[in-house]
Amino acid sequence: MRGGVIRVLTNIQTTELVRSFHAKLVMTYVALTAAVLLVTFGAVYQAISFNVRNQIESQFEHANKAFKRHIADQAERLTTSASALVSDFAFREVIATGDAGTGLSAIRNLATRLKADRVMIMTLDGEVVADTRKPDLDPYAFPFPSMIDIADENDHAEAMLVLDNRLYEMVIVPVLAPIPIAWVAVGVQVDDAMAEMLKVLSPITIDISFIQSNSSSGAQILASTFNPALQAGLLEIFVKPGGFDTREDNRALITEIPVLPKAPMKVNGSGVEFFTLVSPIVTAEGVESVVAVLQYPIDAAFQSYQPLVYWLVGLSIAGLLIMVVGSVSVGRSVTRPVRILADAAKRIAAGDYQEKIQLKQADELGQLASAFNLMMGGISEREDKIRYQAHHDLQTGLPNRRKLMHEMDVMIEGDGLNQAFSLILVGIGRLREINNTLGHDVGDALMRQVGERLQAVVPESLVTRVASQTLVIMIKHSAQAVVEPVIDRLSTVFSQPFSSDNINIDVQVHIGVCSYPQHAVTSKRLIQCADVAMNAARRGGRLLAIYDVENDTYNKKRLSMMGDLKLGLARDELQLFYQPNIDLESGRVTHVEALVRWNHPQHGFMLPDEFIPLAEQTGQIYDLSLWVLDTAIKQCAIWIEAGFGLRVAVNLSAKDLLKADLPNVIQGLLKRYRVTADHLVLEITESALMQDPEAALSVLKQLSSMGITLSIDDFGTGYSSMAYLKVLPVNILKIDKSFVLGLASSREDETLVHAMIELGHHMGLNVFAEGVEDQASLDSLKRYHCDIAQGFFFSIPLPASEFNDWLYTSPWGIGQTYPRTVKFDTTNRQ
Amino acid sequence: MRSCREIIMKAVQLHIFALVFIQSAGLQAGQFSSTVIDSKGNPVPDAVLSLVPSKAVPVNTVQEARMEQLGKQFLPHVLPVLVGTVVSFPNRDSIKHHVYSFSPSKRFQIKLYSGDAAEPVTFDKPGVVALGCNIHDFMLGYIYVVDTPFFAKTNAHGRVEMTKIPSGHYTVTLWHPRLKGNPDGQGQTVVLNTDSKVETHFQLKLKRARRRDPRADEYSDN
Repeated sequence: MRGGVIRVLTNIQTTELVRSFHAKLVMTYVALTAAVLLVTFGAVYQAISFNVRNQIESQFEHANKAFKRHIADQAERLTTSASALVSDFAFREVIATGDAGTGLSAIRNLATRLKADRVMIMTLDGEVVADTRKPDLDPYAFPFPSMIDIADENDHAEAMLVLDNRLYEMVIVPVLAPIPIAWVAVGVQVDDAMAEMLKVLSPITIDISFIQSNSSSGAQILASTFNPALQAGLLEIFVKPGGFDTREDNRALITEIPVLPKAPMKVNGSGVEFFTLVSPIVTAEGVESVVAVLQYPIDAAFQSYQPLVYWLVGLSIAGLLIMVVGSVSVGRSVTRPVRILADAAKRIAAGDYQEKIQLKQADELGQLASAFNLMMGGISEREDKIRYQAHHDLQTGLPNRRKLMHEMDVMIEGDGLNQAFSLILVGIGRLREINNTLGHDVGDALMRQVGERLQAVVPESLVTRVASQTLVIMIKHSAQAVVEPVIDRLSTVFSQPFSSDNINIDVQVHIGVCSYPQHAVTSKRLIQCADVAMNAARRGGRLLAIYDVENDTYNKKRLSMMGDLKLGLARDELQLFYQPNIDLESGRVTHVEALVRWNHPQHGFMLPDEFIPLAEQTGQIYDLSLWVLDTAIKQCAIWIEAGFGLRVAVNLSAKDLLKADLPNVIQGLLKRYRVTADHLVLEITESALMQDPEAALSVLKQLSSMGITLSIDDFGTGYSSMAYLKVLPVNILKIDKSFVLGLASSREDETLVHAMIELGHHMGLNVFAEGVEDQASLDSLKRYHCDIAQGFFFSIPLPASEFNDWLYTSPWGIGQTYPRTVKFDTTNRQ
Repeated sequence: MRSCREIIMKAVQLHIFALVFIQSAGLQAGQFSSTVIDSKGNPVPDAVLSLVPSKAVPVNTVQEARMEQLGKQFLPHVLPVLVGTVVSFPNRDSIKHHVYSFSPSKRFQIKLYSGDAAEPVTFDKPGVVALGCNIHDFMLGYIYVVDTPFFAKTNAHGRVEMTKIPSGHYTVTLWHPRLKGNPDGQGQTVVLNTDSKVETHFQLKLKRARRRDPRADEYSDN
């Protein structure tokens, strides 16, 4: 799980995550607040609108009622007064005598008395014989005969009516003598003045207009409190088709009727919206519909709410700002720890576990930080432990051979030939006897004491245990510079006896010394040289000997050999051997490692260790690698042809990875032998990867993108960071055989191998183990779910022909699936 | 109350006198009767039926009639008279009245008077004369001036009976103050012979009664 966490965190662009998360947080908060404010604002606005509407509606109703009451009151007043006045005897006499001139003057008088605008005398048949508005009239029929019928029935009649384009409230009373002898009509005009009076009556200043709509002549305004400009605008609405509606349910007509911007010259003429109530007026028969239009400007209606709206808008903006500031700061307080955690994750990815996350918070993020710290501690501890175990001899606590090799490699690779150093190899005699007689504990304790003393006398050195009875001191000086000052100190170390369990032990030591680059240029070879020198000292019965090439038979061979490699390639002296890799789940061979052998005409059969470092140094390694690749891929093609999907692994040198054309060459080979890239595995040692990681990475990425499987060889011997290895496009981790060889006997190695397998799996890699030599090791590997195993236990490396036999005969081989007879029958291949 | 009864008695006597006079004028005589109901079938009083003879009958004597005011009412409400009849307007109330008429057939006024102070008025043109009082607007009475001696007014049962009418052809005319339009039978011709009995029926559409001052009822005599 921890490996998974690391992977996830390293793969994500953490800064962008934080940035977008922060932005999202702020955006979300602000959007939510804005939404809430909008909803609130909307609700308040709705409420205000509703309230205003209700208020205006009730005011309109009130005004409407007031108007109707006024009309009714006026009708009653007119009826009563007119009835009284027409009962005047002289008046009746005038009517009865039918004196037109006197009649007109009489009704004028009547009009004055009644404060009426128009008075008419009608015969009982409804013929107007006198009219204050028309002094010189020809008698004409009263246009509203039904009104007379009503008067006949009720002794009086009253109605709103339009006569000569004027709106009147008119009452008709009979002239009784004592039976009706004539009708007198008394009208009060509903004019602008009356509209103004009604406007004053209403609590809010409602504008009132009386409009007559005539289908033939269009609408006309009979009376209005509006100025002419607004009247013109209002009229336009009512002239429109459908604009005039006197439905009973006039409440439904409360609509915003915009007064058309007809009169820009007037201040309040244009663009003003009004609440409008259209109230139909019952008129006498024969009159086109008349309506009272009550209007109140919307702006005025909302005016009293304006401060509230301003407050609300102000509060909303303030709230939003507070929310922006607040969410930014909250976001920061959240994202700052996240950023810290992200940075920590990056550090972990880079292999730095040392710096703890400083996040003192009690919340979840604080807990996460603690978990990070714990995890980092865990990883660091585990890696330290693995590293320690990989590089230390657990019996004595001294650094081991791997540590020594590594240190030497660092020196060699770091500064080339300028950085001289020496190895002082101390061989402890009689240790096997001590082990056998006093027990391994005593032997180990002895070695520890020796190590401690050596370290004490040569403090600036590295004291390592490279074999059970061999210690090597690495010191940064040439042999000549070292020997004189060190040798005295060494002799004092061994002149005093060692003790263990109160037993004094005399030890017999022999010392061999060699120097880099004087005696050898590879770490392996240096140890060999020191060993040669120590053996020379022992043979000569001396305490110490410096390496002399005369004593080294191997080196002579080596020197002469280098010129022969090119020749050897040409002469076909090199040969590939194949060692099977067994899939532990299926128990079958799935991979084959190709290993080069040189059958030298003089020196005989040579293993790669003997000539590969030399080839690397002399720049011949690339030719060699290309030959190996060619041969291995060719063989792979043959196996494919035979129907075995074996994958062939080829070892590459660090120097090979610096050749930019390597991917192209391999591509060419694969094409040439018609082998798909997934059949090829390239093995690179951990140390090779670490030599020039940048250059290696570029080539490895190309190879990986071609579909070639990449494997880290000799894993565990280097100091590479696990996290760095993960960055590489590798698929396989091959545990160095030095760990696997001790698997069955050493508890420490078992722990190490187990840890390495787990780590490899955590990093998503397949884990291979080489060096399996017994059933016990195999069982352990199986138990730890190692994927693939390789070693003498299955098979030693074999030439191609023998390897084919092994394939058919070994229980780890291809089994009975492929009968031998169809081995090369390509037509039957699946 | 006693004087009230006396007035009624006198009116009846006058009426009988007129009938007797008519009866004695003809050598042969017939009988005419009629029932007048309204649209609901209720009897209609105060309807005047007049028979206009095809040949004019000379009337030599000046007739007299009375239209009293009692209890702020004209009494009788309807007074049919022959053209040329002299009608007196005795005021039997303790208050004064101002009787007037603006009707075209007779326009007159008798300004505030009480008792028998008023000069009698001669009704010399046929037609309806609506009487009012300038003091009491609600007072309403009718004098119906006819151009024939043969007329009568329905009683409370809507019934009228005329006897000893000379033989001859007559046009029947019906009038009522609230008559709306002409009823069936209006203007019909009837033939009366000796001992013949003509029975007619009228169903009238009436206008509503005019609004009366409610206080007038206090003084009503019926």
